[in-house]
Amino acid sequence: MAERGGTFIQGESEIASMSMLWGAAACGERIMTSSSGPGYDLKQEGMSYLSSYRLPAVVVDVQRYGLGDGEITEGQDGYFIATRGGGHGDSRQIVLTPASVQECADLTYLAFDLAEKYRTICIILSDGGISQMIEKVVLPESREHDNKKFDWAIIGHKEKDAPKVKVTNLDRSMPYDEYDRLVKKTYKEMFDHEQRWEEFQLEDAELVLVAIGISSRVCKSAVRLAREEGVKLGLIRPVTVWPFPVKAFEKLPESCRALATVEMSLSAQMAQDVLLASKNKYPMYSLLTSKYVATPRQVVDYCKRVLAGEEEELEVY
Amino acid sequence: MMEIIRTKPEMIHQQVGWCGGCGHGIIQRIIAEACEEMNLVEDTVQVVDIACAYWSIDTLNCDGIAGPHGRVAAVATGIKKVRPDSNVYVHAGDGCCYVIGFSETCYAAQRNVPITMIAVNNGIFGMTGGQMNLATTLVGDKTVSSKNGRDANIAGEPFDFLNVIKNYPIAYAARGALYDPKHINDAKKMIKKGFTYQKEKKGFSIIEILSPCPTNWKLSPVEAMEKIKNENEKIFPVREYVDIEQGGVL
Amino acid sequence: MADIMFAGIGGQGVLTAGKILIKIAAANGKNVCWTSEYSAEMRGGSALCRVVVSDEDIGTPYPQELDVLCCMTEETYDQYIGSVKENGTVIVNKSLFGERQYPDNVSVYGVDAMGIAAKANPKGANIAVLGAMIKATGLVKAEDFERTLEAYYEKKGPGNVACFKLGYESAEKM
Repeated sequence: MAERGGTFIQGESEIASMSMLWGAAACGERIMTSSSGPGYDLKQEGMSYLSSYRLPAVVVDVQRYGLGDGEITEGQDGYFIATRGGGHGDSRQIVLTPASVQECADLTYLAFDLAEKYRTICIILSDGGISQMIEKVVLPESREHDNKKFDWAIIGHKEKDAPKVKVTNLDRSMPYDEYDRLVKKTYKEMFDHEQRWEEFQLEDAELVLVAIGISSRVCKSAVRLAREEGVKLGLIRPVTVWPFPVKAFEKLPESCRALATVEMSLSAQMAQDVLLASKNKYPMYSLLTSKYVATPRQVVDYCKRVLAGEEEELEVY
Repeated sequence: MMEIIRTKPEMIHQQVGWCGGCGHGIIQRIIAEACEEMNLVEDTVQVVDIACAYWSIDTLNCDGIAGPHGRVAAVATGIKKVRPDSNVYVHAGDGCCYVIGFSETCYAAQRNVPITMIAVNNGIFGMTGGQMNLATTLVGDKTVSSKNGRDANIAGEPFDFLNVIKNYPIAYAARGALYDPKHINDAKKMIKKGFTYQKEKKGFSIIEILSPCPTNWKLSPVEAMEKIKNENEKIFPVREYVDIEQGGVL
Repeated sequence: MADIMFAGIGGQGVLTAGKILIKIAAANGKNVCWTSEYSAEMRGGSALCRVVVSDEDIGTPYPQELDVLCCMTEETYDQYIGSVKENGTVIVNKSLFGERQYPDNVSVYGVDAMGIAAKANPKGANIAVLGAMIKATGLVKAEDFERTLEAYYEKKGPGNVACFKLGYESAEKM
């Protein structure tokens, strides 16, 4: 970082790192932090503060599996904690889910832009599978950041009569009701404009898989394998999981008979968002592989059983 | 006509709502005087904690940021790293600096980040209603969470944080008090020394100030000042602990 | 196009062998994906990497069936030989393999990787196996491979390129 004119600090704890971000973000700098599992828990406090004053930041959660210390291997059970706001209070943050190394790079650039555009935290929700692979990547071009462009930021020396910036909870530079309206409007705008997803062989699919990250990579192979065996699978891969790409489910092909998520968790997490998005119009299934990355064979066999009516529909709880 | 030799600093541009007899107001005033006398107002970023020190954010006419509780040293570190030429000071209580934020304070010192921490030692959690402070409440002192007086067998003993922090590679550590004009002036000199070392990028500075909380101590303002002089100062001596210009640890 | 595994014990360079391969394949316009699995100890535990080389978008990075298996040890051979596809290719490090029967439905090539390493570069057994693999599969042209290898090991001298050449030339069908 220092070679590129940036600053890197190794924090003494995730709590401290997030608080350092709170200070540096208040100065209008481009800032980020990353962690996984238990460390991501500790960042929640600071995330709530950043959301309160609406400071842009990028927070990376590379999911590992399990409760407590869990495992240090791949997992996707951090879906809820990432998509239901950060810390106490009611916040919404854009959550991007890369499924390749190239996308890790591209979405990080996008994350900073979106964070500044909406004055929000932008979370990159990856997993141990995606983050520990090596792939070909073309880095986007570097850009300069103007750290003096925000009127809400602490920019350094001020002239005597210039208005001062106070970075406080709930942004007290405006009356509360105005703040309230502004935040609600921002959440809605993010929902309306920032839904992103990838469709794969959807046109004639009888069963549409929904998966992110490492599971989506497996599902892509599963779609190919199934089609070799005459089973028409398709895939919707959400790239944003908040806002969840509900638009993707408004125009599913007529051939679609059911939806199935593939998730590395104990309970169906993303499936709840899929149910909301699809407005309960399709039978809904979930292949929950917890600490194991699914195999294409496993997914195809599961889908065959779903289409044969041999699997139970998802019960949401 | 009497000559006016001292006026309220212009930096204090609003009323503030601390309880009568509270030391925070005096501390805020000497901070403001120090900033003005050193011509630092336009370069100052105040970092306050979300307890009683928080009120200072509305009162002082400079850039400012608040909380999260206990994390002020880390917040100030974040600011100083990207605004190295700003005068970044912390105004926070002993709960923030020494209890919930113990780790953050120690690691700002360990990194020797050139910020100035002004830690208010009033021996109690003031904002939350007068609970015992593990670091600073004296043994025997009654609080709402030590009804019969602090019992060292249960809650351990208070400790002198400056004795801990002096072993870190820092520029300045000192303890002041407010119970008479001489001590108030000395405390201000300590703060100015902290700001000076920050400006000269010499390193981390911390000034702890023994401060009264008559409301939660259930004493009159005068009795509260007497208590500091007769009791608290015995455990928490008023002196300089580290001064890089005088060779380090004193 | 090819699902490949390099397997052995930590310290034998199996992860590095995979990294060299993806670098070369990527430089030749292929999509590549590399993942690894290893036990906690840095030396002496089991270690393997999976490499997917493909013209299309790569799906799972953990192929269950292999086109190519390169084994530095008999243990890993026994563990993964069942994953090799019909007509797949297997490279074995002959130096550490005893006399044994190999299945008929795969092509097995042997290379005296340790012997080559002893001659050209003590740490180059993995590169000798890579040489044998390129010979057996024709995945990349040997000249292209050599050129990239030279650049990869520019600072470490010619020992590795020599290991590659010797591995390539001496690989023999078992």
